[in-house]
Amino acid sequence: MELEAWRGRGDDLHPGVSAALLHLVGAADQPVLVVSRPADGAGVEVPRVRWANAAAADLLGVDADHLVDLAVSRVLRGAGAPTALLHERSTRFAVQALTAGGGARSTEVVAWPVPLGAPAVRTHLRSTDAPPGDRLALDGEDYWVLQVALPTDERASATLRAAEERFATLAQASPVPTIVSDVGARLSHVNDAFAELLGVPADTLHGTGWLTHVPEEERGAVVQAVADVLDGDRTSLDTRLCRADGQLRWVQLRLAPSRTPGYGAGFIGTVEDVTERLARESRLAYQAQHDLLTGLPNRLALLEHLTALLAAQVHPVRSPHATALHPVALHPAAAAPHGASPPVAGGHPVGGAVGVLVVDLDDFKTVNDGLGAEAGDEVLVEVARRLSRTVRGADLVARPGGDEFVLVCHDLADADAVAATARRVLDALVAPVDVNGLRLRLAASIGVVLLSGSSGSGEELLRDAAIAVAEAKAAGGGRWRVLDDAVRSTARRTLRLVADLREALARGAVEVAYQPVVHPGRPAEVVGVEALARWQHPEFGVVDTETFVALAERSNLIGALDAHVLTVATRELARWRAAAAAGEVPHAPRWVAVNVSATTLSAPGFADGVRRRVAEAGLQLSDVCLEVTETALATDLLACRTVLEGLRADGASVAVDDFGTGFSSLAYLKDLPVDHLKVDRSFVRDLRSSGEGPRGGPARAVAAAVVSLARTLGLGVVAEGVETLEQNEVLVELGCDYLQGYLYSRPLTAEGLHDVLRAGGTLQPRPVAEEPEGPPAAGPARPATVPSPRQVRA
Amino acid sequence: MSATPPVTGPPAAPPGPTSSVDDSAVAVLGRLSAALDELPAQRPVAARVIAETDDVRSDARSLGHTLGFDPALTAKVLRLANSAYFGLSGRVGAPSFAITVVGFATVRSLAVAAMAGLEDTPPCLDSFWERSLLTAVAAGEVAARLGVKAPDAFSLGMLSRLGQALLVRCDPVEYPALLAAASSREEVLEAEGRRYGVTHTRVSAEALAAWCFPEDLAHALSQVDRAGWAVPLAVAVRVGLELSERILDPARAPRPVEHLTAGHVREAELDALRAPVQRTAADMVRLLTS
Repeated sequence: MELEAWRGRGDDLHPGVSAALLHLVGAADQPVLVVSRPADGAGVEVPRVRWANAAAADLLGVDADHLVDLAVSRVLRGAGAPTALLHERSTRFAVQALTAGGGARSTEVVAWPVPLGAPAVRTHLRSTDAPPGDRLALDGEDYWVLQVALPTDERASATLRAAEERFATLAQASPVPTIVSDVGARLSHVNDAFAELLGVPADTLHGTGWLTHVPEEERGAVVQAVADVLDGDRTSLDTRLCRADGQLRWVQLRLAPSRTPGYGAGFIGTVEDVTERLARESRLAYQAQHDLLTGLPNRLALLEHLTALLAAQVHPVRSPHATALHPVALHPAAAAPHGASPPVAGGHPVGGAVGVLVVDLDDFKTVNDGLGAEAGDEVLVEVARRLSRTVRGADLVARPGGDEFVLVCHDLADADAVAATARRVLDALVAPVDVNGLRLRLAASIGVVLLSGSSGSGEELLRDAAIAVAEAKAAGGGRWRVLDDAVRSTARRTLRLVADLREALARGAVEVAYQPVVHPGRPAEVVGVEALARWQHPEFGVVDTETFVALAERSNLIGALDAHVLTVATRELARWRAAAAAGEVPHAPRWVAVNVSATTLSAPGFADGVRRRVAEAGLQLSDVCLEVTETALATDLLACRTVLEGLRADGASVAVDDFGTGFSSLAYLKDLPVDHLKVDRSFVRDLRSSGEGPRGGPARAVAAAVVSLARTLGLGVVAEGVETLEQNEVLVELGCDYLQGYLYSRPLTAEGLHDVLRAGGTLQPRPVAEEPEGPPAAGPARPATVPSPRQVRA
Repeated sequence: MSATPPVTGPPAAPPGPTSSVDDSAVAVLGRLSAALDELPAQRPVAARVIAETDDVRSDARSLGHTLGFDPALTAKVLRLANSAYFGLSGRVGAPSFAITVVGFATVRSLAVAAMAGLEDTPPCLDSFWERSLLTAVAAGEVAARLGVKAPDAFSLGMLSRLGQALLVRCDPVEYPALLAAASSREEVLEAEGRRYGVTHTRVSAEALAAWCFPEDLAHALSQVDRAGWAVPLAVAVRVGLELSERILDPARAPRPVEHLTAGHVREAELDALRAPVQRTAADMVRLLTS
C-alpha cells in the first residue's frame, strides 16, 4: 500500500519543489536519516548513513557531516540487522540511539524503502535507460529513509501517568458508582461504589458482566444508550439494575464518550442510585392520592376516578360488540328470547350502570366527641376495612374525608342490584366494633347516584349523592336512598331557597310579624308581643316557617335570622313607645319576645350582639324576652346558663318555649336561668269543655300541673295557641298570667299592631272558625314567643 | 520485523550449534521469514488496516474507510461487533461503528488473521478457531484482574496460535505429523522446540512484530510459553490458553492456574469463567467462520 501511495504522486518534480522538500526535512524536529547499502550485496553489507538532518545530529550529538558514511548500527544499534530494512514495505523496529557521549536511549525507528516511483528515481532511470519495472539501484545502492521517533519526554509521560493515577484514585474512591469502558460496551474499570451498588465483586462486572445486572426489559434501552455514547453523544437515562440479592434499584445512568488513541471509542459513566428518591416521590404521589388513615383513595383520587368514568360514558370505547348497545333495533332476529334479560355487550350487561354510593356514618360525632379522636380513627379504619371487603375487583372504595366513604360500584344493572349493594354495605357495618373496651354499634346512611350520560362533573355527582345521604339521614338513618328526580328537584329547590334566603337576609327582606300577648280580661290588654319572622319568596310566595327556619339552621343562617328579627322588633317597640310618649296611642307593649335558636345562643358574641341591638334601638334589656326551646337548653346547658344569666342580670327575661314537649325534669327546671314557662299549644288545644269530668277535659289536669309547677318554681306562665273561649276560660281559671292566640289576634304587621294600639291597645276575644291545626293564614310565623317574665310578674 | 532483543532473532537465526534443529527446519524458518514479507503484499488492505490502527491520528471513520476495501474483513468485523461478547448484539450496522465497538486492537487482530490466511485453516489444525477464540475470550475476561487492557488480551489470545498456521504453510508435511504425534499442547510445544528451536507462540509473536503490531504486544506474546516471569499481558494469554485446552482437551492434565498467574487468578475463578467463556466463544466461532 505504501508503495502504491508513493507512486503516481506528481510526475517530473520541479527542482524547486525538490529543494523545498529537502529544506523541510532538513529543518524538521523529527530526526531523519537516509541510509543505503549495495543493491547486490545479498543483505550482508552494512547500511551506511548518507544524509542526516539537524534533529538527527542533535539526537546523536554528532555533526550531520560527520554522520555520513558511518555504519548505521554505529549510531542506531539494531538498525543494521539484516531483517530491519526491507525493500517491500516499511518496517518499524526498536533501536538504541547511541550518542557521542556514550549514552544509549531506547527509541523506535520507521524505515521507508525509497521506491521506484519517486520522481528523482524516474529521472535517473530515464537517464540510464534502465528497463522500467526493475528495482532501482541508485549508484548500485538501495536507499531507505529512517525516521527516528523522538525519545519520549519522560517528564511529560510521568505527568500524564500521574494524572491518570489521580483520576483512577478519584474514581475508585468516589462514592458515586462509576464505570469506564476503554472500548465498546465492555467495561475495563468499575469503582467500589458500583460493585457495592450491585452487591458483587468488581471483577464480575468487567467486560459485559455488568449488562447481566440490567433486567431483560431494560437492556434494549441501556444498550442503545451505550451505542449512542460510543457514537460520540453524551447520554443519560433512567433504568433499573438488579442487585445480586435480586433487589431492583432505580438508577440514573449518565454516559460521556471517551477515546483512547490506538484503542478506539469508549465511555465513562456514572450510575446514581435514585431508588430512595423515586420511592420518596412515589410516596408523595401516593399520599397525594390516598387517605393516610385508612389507606383508601382520597377525594382527589376519587374525583379523578369519577372524571375518567364520566369521560368513558361520554366516549365509550368502540368494540366489535359496541353495536349491541341497541341490539333489538339493529338485530331484530337476535332479540333476547328471554325478553327480560338485559341487552349484553362484550359480556357485560349494557344496563350495568355505575353507581356512586356515599356512605355516611350516623352519629359518628358522638363517637369522636365521646371517646376521643383516636377511637374515632379506629372506627374509621375498621369501617374502611369492612367496606373494602364488600366490593368487587373493579369497584372503588374511597374516603373523601371525615366519616364519609364513597363506593363506586360497577354493574348495578337495576334497582335490585342497587338495593343488594346498599344492603351489603349496611350489613357489613352491623357487627359491633370494639373500641377502648366498648362495643359500638355502627349505622350509616347511604346516598346512591347512578351515572348517566347527563351526569355532570365528579363534584356534582358527589353533591347529588350527598343530597341522597341527607334524605336517608332525615328519614332516620341506617337506610339508603337513591337520588331520583323527585329528590333531586326537592334538593335543587332547597338549594335555591337557601341562596334566596341568604340574599333576603342581606337585603333585610325578611319581614317580622307581631302576635299580641294579652292580659286576660274583657277587653284584654295587649301587654307584649312575640316577634315572628315571615318570608315572602318572590316566586314561591310565603314560605312555611318551619321550612325556612330549618333551612336557616342547616345552612348556618339562623344567627343572622335571629339577629335580624331582634333588630327589627326592638326598633318597632321603640317606635310604639315613642308614639305612646307623644300621646298618639294610650300605651305601648311592655316587651317584645324574640326566639333564639340553640346555635345562636352558643355562638360567641351573642350576648354582646343582643346588648348592642337593644341599645341601638334606645331600649333596655328589660324590654326584651329571649325565648329558648327546651331542646336548645338541653344541648349545652352550661354555656347557655352563662350567657343567659349574664343577660338576665342586666334585665333581660328568658322564657322556655314549647314547655312540656321536651325532656325537662323537675330537678333540671329549677336550675334553669329562666323567668317564664310557655305552655305548649298542644296542651292548650286539648282543653275542651266537652266530655266527662271537670271543664277542660283530661288535658286540663296536664295544663294545671304545668301551671302549678311554674308557680311552685316562681316562674310566670304564658299559654299560647288559645283559640276558643273555653280554652280561655280554663286557662284563666288555672291562673295563667298571659294568653296568646288567634282568639285575640293573629300575628300582625307592625302597622296592624300600631292600629290596635291606636284603638286603645285592647283586644276582644273572638273565636275563629274551626281550624284544627294551628295558625293558618299566618302560617309563616315562627312559633310563638314568651313574654318577659318580669313583666309577666309585674 | 523487530530489532528488540527478546523478539527478533530466533525465527531467522537458528539457535546455536548445539541445537538439534536440522537443515530442513532451517529451510522452514527461511520460508517462514519470506512468508512474513510476502503475506502483506497479498492482502494489502489488511496490511494497511494494521498500520492505521497504530496511528494516533486514526479514528473509527478513517479506519472504517480503509476497512471498506476488504469486504470479507469488513463482514467479519461487523459480525464480531454484533456478537454477545461486545454486548451490542444486533445494533451494529456501520463498519465505522463496528470498529468503535470492537476496538482497534480487535480490528487489527482480524486483519492479521486475514493476512495470515486463517480463514482457511488446514485440517490438521484441529478446532483452530474454537481454540483461538476460547483463548481470546478467556484472556479478555481475566485482563482486568491482571491490570491489562482487555482488548489487548483478547487480540493476543486470538492470535496466539497464528504461528501454527504459518508453520503448516511453511512445513506442510512435517508439522502436521508433529501435531498428530503430540497428545497435548505441552507436547506440541516440546516437539516444536525440538524441531525448529522455537515454539509456535514465538512464531506468532514474530509475525506480529513483522507486521507492525505494537511492540509491547508482540513482546508479551513472545513470553507466553517462555518459562518464568512474564508481563501481565502474557499471563492473561496463558490463562486463556489454559482454559481453552481444558475445555477442548479434557484428557490433558491441567496446569494449576495459580502457578500460571502468580496467584492473581484462582481455580475457582477460572471455573466460574468456564461456562460464559464457552458460550461467548461458540457464538464468535459461528460468526467468524460462517
